[in-house]
Amino acid sequence: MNIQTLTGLSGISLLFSVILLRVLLSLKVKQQTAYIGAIIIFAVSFIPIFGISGNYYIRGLCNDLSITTLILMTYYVISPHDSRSQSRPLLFLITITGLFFYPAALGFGPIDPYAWGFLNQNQGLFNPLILLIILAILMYIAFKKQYILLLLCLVLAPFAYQTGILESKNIWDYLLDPVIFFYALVVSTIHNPFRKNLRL
Amino acid sequence: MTFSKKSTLYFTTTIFSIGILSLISLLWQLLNQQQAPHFLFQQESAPQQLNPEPLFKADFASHESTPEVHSATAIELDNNNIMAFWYGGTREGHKDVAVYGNTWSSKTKQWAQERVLLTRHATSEGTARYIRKLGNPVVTRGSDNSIWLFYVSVSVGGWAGSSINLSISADEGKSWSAPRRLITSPFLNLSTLIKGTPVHYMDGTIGLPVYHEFVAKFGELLRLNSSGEVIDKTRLSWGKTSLQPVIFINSPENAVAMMRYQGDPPNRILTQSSSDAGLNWTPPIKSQLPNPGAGIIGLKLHDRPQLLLAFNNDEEEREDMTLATSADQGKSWQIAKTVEQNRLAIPDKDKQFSYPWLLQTRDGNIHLLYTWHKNHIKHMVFNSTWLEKPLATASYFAKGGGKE
Repeated sequence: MNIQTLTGLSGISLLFSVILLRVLLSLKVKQQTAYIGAIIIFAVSFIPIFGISGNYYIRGLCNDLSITTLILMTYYVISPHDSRSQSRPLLFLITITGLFFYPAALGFGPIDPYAWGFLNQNQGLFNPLILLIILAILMYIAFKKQYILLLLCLVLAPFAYQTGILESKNIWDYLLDPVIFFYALVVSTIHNPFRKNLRL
Repeated sequence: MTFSKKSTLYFTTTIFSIGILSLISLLWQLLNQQQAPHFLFQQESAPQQLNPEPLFKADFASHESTPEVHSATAIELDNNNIMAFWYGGTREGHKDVAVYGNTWSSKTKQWAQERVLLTRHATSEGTARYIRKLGNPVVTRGSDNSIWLFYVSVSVGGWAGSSINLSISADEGKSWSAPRRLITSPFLNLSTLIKGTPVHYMDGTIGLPVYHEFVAKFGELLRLNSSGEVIDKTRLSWGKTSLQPVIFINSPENAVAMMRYQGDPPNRILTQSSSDAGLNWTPPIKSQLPNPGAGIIGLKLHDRPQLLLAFNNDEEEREDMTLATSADQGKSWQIAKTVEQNRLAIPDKDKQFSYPWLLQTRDGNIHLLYTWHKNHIKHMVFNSTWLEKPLATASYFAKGGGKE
């Protein structure tokens, strides 16, 4: 098993663990018991059942999770009682980016922002350059505002891209994936900071 | 656990510095990248033998190992034999569908018995993912002369949920590597399919014409490095009507693409062109050639300045298989031969001819393979003399341009 496969499968197993951990904690299960359950499900998801393991099934469905998702899940494991001041800026940014990115990447229009993520000059220097500049600006904002979780994601995703730890050669696959986008969309909709104003 | 403000600031400053250095490194790589390569283009050579006798032979490449077969692709081996690939099983989408291969001897002019090359279990093991069904294969040569076999698999849903896998043979098709997954799409890596012949670039990279079917239907051209990783993609079209691109290379910079059409009538093959080695494409327009929402295939002949196209010459049904040639780089087409023609009172989906594949071997002969009545892969071998011979029966013109 190479490092890319191990990262991909471990990411899916971590997803199982985080979901179970948060469900158990929301049910007021003892923290120690919840963590033991999360570790067990992580290990069990690697064991083949009827020839295929649980993480094979889900990886077939949703492909590899991005570095951003892996960091957020790790944060939820380390800090099960989420400090919203850390996760909300990240989820808000993912929502905004995904709302622009996915429709365009799925063919609604002639522009394909996914192609910019290969970071080459074939379609011109402008688009990949803008992508890197936006990343730098977001990093600076996260640093100034001390959004540590957002900063970690913005720094470690490009870093992981250069190491090639995932199967993809496209930086978007390290920054974003549909699993975290839909999660962020739901959270951002429920906790919309503008909702109060809209009611007025 | 709490941290002091000072230690937090020290931590974030360190992380921020690493991030900026990482971005500077990416910028450096971006600025120092080589310019996009040109297409690998071989000027046509003189025919090996002037005015040879017309050659035409037809047989079946598959021998009923499975009730259904579909989507053939083929390549010439080092020993001048042909190796063909297709998918077969109880029916399309069934769990027992596998990718089959068979070899045609250039000496005996006979096909051997087909054998299973890749199953969904092997694909699941190789890609470390659950695989529900297999689909279209497409074959080409890598820059190291190994055989690269791309094929589609689905983990969930229909064909719109497809992804592409790659298996490589370094021993002329005797053994195949564990399949690996191509990452082609940001949305769960879903909905990238293949049908058209790959093209090659001067730097050894491979251009793989692909298409999307989820939500929208459009064509793309992927570029793969020598490790089989996707390193670039260009959109050929967008919207909901174009798929299965076929690319003709006319020069190192110029190419013409034709696509299957799946929109409102009139149903015609779509065509477009590029003058910068596939980086930018003109918007697709309808050609004069009809298309019943079916796959097409084409190639540039290497012994004369002509393009050859195989397609269904009808706007509604796949009841014929027709060959057309173009002497002006795809601007206009002339019907050369109709090699199959049903004359059924009521269209029958089990009597169709579809998904053609064309290959020209080093001896100048042309091989046409296609799905015959869904249960056989038909193979025809012919030469340019036969192709250019006047039509023996009534002429068929492209029905979009009027029928004689």
